[in-house]
Amino acid sequence: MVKRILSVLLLGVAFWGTAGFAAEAGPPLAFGVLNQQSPAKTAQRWNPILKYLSDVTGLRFQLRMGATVQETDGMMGRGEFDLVFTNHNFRKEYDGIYRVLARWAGKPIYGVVAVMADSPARSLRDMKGKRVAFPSREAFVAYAVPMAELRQLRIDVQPVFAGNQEGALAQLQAHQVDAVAVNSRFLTQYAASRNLRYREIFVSAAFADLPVVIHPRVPKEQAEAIRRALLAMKDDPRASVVLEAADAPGFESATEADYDNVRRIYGKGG
Amino acid sequence: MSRFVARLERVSLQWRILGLATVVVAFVSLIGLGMVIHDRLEAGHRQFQESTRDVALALQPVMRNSLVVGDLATVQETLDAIAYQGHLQRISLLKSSDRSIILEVSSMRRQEVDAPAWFVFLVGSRPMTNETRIVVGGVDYGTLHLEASNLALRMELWRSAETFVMIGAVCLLGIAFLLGLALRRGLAPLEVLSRGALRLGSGDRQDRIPLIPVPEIAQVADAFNQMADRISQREADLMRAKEAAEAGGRAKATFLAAMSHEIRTPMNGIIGMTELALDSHPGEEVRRYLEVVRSSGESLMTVLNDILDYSKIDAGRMGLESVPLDPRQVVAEVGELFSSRCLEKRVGLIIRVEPEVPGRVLGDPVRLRQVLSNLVSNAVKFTTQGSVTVEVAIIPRAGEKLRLSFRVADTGIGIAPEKLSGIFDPFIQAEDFTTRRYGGTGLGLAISRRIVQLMGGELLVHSEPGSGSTFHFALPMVAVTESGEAQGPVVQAKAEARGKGRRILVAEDALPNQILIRELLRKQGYDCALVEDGFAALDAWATGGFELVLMDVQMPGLSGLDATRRIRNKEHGTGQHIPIVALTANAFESDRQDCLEAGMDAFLSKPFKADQLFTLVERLLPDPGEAGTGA
Repeated sequence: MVKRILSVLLLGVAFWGTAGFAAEAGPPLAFGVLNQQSPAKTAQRWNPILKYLSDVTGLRFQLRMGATVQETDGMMGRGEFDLVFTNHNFRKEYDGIYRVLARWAGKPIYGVVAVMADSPARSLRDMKGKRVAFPSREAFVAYAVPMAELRQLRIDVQPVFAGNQEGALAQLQAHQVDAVAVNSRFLTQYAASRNLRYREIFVSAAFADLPVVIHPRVPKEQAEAIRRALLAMKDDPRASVVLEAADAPGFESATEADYDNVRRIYGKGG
Repeated sequence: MSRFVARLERVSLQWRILGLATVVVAFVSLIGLGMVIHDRLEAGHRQFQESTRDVALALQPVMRNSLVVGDLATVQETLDAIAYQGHLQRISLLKSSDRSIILEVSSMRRQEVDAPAWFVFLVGSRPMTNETRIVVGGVDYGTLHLEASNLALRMELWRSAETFVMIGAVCLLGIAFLLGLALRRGLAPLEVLSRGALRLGSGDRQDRIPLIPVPEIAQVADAFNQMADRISQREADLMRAKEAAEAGGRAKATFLAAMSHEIRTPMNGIIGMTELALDSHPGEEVRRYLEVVRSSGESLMTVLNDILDYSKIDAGRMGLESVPLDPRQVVAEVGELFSSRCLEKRVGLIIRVEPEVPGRVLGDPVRLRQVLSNLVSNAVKFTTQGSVTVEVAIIPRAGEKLRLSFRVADTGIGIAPEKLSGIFDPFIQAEDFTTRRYGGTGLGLAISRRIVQLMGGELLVHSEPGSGSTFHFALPMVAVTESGEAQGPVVQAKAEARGKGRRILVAEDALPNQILIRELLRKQGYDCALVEDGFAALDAWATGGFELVLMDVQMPGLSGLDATRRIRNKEHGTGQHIPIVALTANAFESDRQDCLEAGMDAFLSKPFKADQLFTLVERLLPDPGEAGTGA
C-alpha cells in the first residue's frame, strides 16, 4: 500500500518535473521498432513501454514501423525515426547516423543452428547441400551470423526462408528441413513449449541484444531524459507491469563499442 | 360517450357479442403480432450484433497489423472485401478521439422495396451499428464502425406481418362466422319465446314454448311456461268467479223480476179492486177506508217501482225507448198528476212551455215522465207555501242538435249546501228526518239522475235553504217533422160508446187481474172474453171474432209468448194480424224485448192504470169495420 502511494507520488513528481517537455506540443517522437514480430504484436509490446516513457519524460512517442523489415529499414534509412529499436543500423549503409542510447537488458544472444535430436548431423560441416531454414534474410543471429560462419567454412546450404523463427522451427519439426538457424533464446522457449527434441550443431559468439538508438536531431536533454527513463525502468515499480506484459527485462546502458561484433558480421556481408 | 352507449344499446345482443369477440380477438392478435415483431426485431438486432462482432473479431488482426504500420491501403482492401458480403451498408474507420472518418466503405447494394412508411415508423429505421475500438498495447488506432440497414429485417417483418394479418383476418372471419352461427342457433329460441309470449298475450292460453335445446333459454322458457300455466289457472279461476258472479247477478235479477211479479200481481189486484170498489158508490166511511187502501197501495207500488228501477239501473239493464213524444203532453200529464195534491196543499203549480218547443221529438216518454214526476213530487212534497214551477225551453245553440231544457223549481225548504252533493246518492235525503217526515225511499233522485244521464243529460241542482230548490236538466232531442203519425193528445174523455161491440180476448191466469181487466173494459163498453192459459187463448182466437188480445206472459200450460208465436205462425201467409198486447209484471226491458220478438204489438207492465190500458187498446184496435178474424 505504502509502495503504491509512493509510486503515485513519484509519478506526480515525474510529471511535474517533466512538464516542460510536454508543453512543447510538436509532433510526437517517431519510435521505430524492428520487425521481429507482427506489427500488432510489436505494438502490443511496445505501446505500453512508449506510454510509460511518455508519462515519465513528458515527451510524446509514436510507434512507427513498416509492414516488413525492408520497409522498416527503408524508413530508418530515410531518417523517419527519431528513435529505433534495432541493430540494422549497424549495417554499413546505415551505420553512423543513429547513436546507441541503451540496450535490451539480460543475457547476450547467440545464433544457433540446430537439427532434430535423431539427426546424424553433428556439425555445420554435415550441412553441406542440406536444407537449412532461416526466419528471413534480415535476421541477424538467425541468419547473418550463421551464414557468416557457413561462408567462412565454405559450406553451401539450401536456405529456406520460413518468414519468422517460429515458422523455421515448425519446418524442422515437420522434417521439411534438415536444420534450422534461430536465436538461442527463442529456441529454448519454443522447444519447451512444443516439446521439440533437438541438437545444437553450431552456437555463435555472444552478441549484445538489440539497442535503442537515437537520431542526432533529438535534443540532447530529451535524449538524456529518455535514456534515464529507459534505464530506470528495471527498478521502477510502475514499469514492472509494463515490462512483465512485454516479457521484457528492461533496459541497461550500452555503448557503441558493445556492437562492434555486430558491425563486423554485417561487414562480412551478413 | 353516452351517445355511443345509447347507440350501442340499440344493437342486438348477437351483434354485440359478435362485435366484442371480434374486437377482442383482433386486439389480442395485434398485441401478439406486436410482441412477435418486437421479439424478432430484438433478435434481428442481436443477430446483427453477433455477426458484426464476428466480423470485427475476424478483422482485428489485419486491422491491428495494418494500422500499427499505418497501412491504410490494406485496411481499405480488407474493408472493401467485406463490404460486399452480408448486409453491411457502411464500414468506417473512425478516429476514436473526434470520430472523424479515416476511411469509409459504402455498400453499393441496390435499394430494395421498403415497407409502408407507418410500419417503418413503428419498427424504426435507425440502422444497426456495431463499433469496435482497435487498441493495441493501450494505444487507440481508431474505431471500426459497422453499419447495416434494418431494411432487410423490416421488410422480412413486414412480409411476416402481412401474412399474419391475412391469415388472422381469415381466421377472424371464420371465428365470426362460426360464432355468429352459434349465436344465431343459440338465440333463435328467443324468437320462439317472444312468439310464444305474443300468442299468450293475444289470448292463446294453451300455447306453450316447445323444448329449447339451449339450456339458458330453456330455463327462461320453462319459467315462461310455468307463468303461462299460472296465468291460465288464474284466468280459469277468474272465469269461474266471474261466471259465479254473473250467475249470482242473474239470480238476483231473476229474483227481483220474480219478486216484482209476485208483489205486483196482488198489488194490481188490491189497487184495481179498490178502484172498482170506489167506483161502486160506497158509503162515506167505507170510501175513506178505500181511499187509504188505494193510497197505501200506490205508495207501496212507488216504493216497489223505485227499487226495481234502481236495481235495473244498477245492473245496467235500464233500456230507453226512442219513440215520438210530445213534450207538452208529458209535462201536462205530470201537472195533472199533481194538480189535486197542490190544490190540497194550497201550493201553486205553474207549467210553462216555450212556444218554440217542438210538438214531436224522439225520446222515452215513460222515463221522461218518471223523472219529471219524481222532481215535481219532491217539489210538492217539500213546499208548504208558494209554488212549484215546471218549465220546458229550447237551448239555442247554433249548429248543434236540439236540446230541451227542463226545470222544476219550488219555493220549499231548500237544501243546505253541505247536503247538496249527497242528495243524488241512493237512500239519502237532505235530512234523515225528512225521510221520516216526508216519506219516500230516497231512491227517486238517484234514479232520476241516472235516467237523465242515460238520456244524455245531467241532472243539476241549485238550492238555498229557506227559499227553495231548482232542479234542472237538458236533453239532446231529435225533432220529428213528419206529421203523418200525428195524433191528437190522448184524452180519457173518449166516448164510452167507442168500445161498444168490439170483442177483446183476455188471457190471464190470476183471478183478481181477470176481474180487474174485465170490469175496466166492460165499463168502456168492450166485449170481453176471458181465458186462463195459452192453450185456451189459442182455442178462443181460433173461433174468431176477436179484434185484440190482452195476453198475460206468465201463464200455466202454454205461456203468453208461446201462444203469441203460434198465433203468428198460423197467421203467416193469410194477411191477418191481430194486435196482441203483453200484460206482465216483468217490468224489465229484456222482458219487453222478448214480447216484441215473440210477435206481440205492445207491452203493458202490471200494475197499470186504467188510462194506460185504454190508451193502448184504442191505439191498437183496428178501425171499426176492418176487424179481422182468426184463421
